[in-house]
Amino acid sequence: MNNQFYINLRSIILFGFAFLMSALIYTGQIQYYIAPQMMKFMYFATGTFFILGIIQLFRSEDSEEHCLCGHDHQETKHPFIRFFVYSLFILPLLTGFVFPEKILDSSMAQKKGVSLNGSVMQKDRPAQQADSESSKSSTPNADEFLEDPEGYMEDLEEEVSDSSNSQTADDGVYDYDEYYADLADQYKNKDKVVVTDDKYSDLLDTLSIFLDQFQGKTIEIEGFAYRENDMGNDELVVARYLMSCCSADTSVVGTMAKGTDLQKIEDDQWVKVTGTIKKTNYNDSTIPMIEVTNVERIKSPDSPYVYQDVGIFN
Amino acid sequence: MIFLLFFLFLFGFLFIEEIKSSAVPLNIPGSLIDLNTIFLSIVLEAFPFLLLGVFVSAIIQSFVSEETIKRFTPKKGYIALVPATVMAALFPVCECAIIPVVRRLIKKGMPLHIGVVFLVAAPILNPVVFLSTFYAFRSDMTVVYARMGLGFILAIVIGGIIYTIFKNKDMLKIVKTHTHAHNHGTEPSKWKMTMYHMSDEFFDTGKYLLFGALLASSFQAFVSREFIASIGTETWSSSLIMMGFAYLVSLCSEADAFVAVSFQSTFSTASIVAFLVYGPMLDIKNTLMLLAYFKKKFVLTLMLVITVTVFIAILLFQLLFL
Repeated sequence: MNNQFYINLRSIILFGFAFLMSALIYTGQIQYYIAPQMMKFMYFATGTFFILGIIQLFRSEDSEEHCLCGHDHQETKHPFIRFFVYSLFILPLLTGFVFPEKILDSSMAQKKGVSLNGSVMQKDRPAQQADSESSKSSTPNADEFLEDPEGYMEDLEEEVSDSSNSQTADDGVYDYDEYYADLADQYKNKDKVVVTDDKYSDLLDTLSIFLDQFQGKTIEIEGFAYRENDMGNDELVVARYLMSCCSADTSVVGTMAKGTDLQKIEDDQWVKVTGTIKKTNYNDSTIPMIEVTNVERIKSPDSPYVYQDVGIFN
Repeated sequence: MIFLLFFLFLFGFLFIEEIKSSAVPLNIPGSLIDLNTIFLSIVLEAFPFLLLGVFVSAIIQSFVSEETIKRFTPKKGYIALVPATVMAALFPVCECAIIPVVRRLIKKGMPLHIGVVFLVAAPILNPVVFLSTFYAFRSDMTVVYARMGLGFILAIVIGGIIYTIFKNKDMLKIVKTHTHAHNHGTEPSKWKMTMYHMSDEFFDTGKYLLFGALLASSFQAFVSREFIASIGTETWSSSLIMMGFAYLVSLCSEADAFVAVSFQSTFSTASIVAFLVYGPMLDIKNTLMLLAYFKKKFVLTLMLVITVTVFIAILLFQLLFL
């Protein structure tokens, strides 16, 4: 096949990406892939693909020769390799148009690990703590101190500030600690904490930093059900995927919940859990736990993820 | 056949919701959909930055003369390394965008080792990366300073080693060079040429990005972190594991800090720094992109140099500061 064919094919592929991205943006399905703060880059890319597609469409083989004066656009000549290369470009277009979106679920959460209280749950963690300095344990031991005195002290400080009552964590140098403290203050006189999507991770962080202050309050939280292998039937994690830029960088945040009502809830079911905030020990760290008074099945939310709104791209 | 493809895409564009809902009963396995979600998200996230990179590269090709580049790049030799690193810090781009730009700059006469400094420093020493790392690790500022500090020092060291090995040999892949005379009468306008360059380069680089994204997303969808955590327990082994992990997941340096923070409880600070420093310098997708532009021997040497220096630096860092 001649060069003009490939010039046209490239034009079509560029249009394909422009179409795919505008369709995803138009239908809102893009939120399954990309965080809202990245959207302006998506508009830029969509526009650029359209422009490049149009220009490429009117490009003829004659002008191709002029372009080669850069001498660096190699075009593999082997037909098989060419086929493979163009398939690579067409593959995401086909799957993008055809594959239904599905929010990442608990099978993926198992692979990623779930953060309760800022610590990744690992089934073999206690064993690791015993024989390795590489895991920062929350129960400090002498070995760790010898290996890593500074880190040990930091851990210790963190722990102290974690468990101290409504005090600014650490030395209060960072604005974020004040931010958490402010957030905690807002709930000082309230009996009920409703965890909303826009403050999901911030609230959970605050909750674990100022756990003592929040203890005994009522909490209402939504998420999908996730169970670690060592969890009982009456326990589950109310989990959400937290995205910062795209779904490749999602992590899972969750809150432990316990109650007999939870027995009938199967994994991946979306639930709204209401209960009392308690403290518990899990894998040697102190984490918040909800003593469930009411659990309700809900359908999956409009916004599949919660977002880490860093504000850095604005 | 081309029109068929065009109408296929147009059809997809118009009826995307219908197609997707009719594909639901097909029962595509969940893991395959997860794989696709991650694959597409890496691709979609990287595209704007790749386009930006090829755009800058095309602009340089069309509008910046070799003399200008020579005048503005620091003079040759070891002394040039420090100002080059500072200049790299001013480029607010991550690894997808920097490769086409550096290739173009080297082609236009920038010394090889300066280009390497740009390659390894720009994705780390970058305001956006600093902010995202700061945000993710605000509870442990050691990580933030270590990432930025090591990024700066290592860029200079790696640039120096590359200069010692290669001096200023041409390490770009030789692509057939027609030295044809231009027929200036009918030459398309400079802007049109820029656009042509841009789309050609998008396809040249994009195929490696796509292939890398495919590998990286398979890795994410099929390998569990528990497994990764279980193979590395010593400082040296966990650092190596985290470097390998960074290489395989191929995250954008602007977002990798958020992933790294989820490892905080399982991995030592040193190995997290290893992840954050090594990942932006080298990963699957940029290795493939480098292979597209540079000679194989050079890419392999560069990979070896980066891997060894980062690893040694991490061990020293652990010894001195932790």
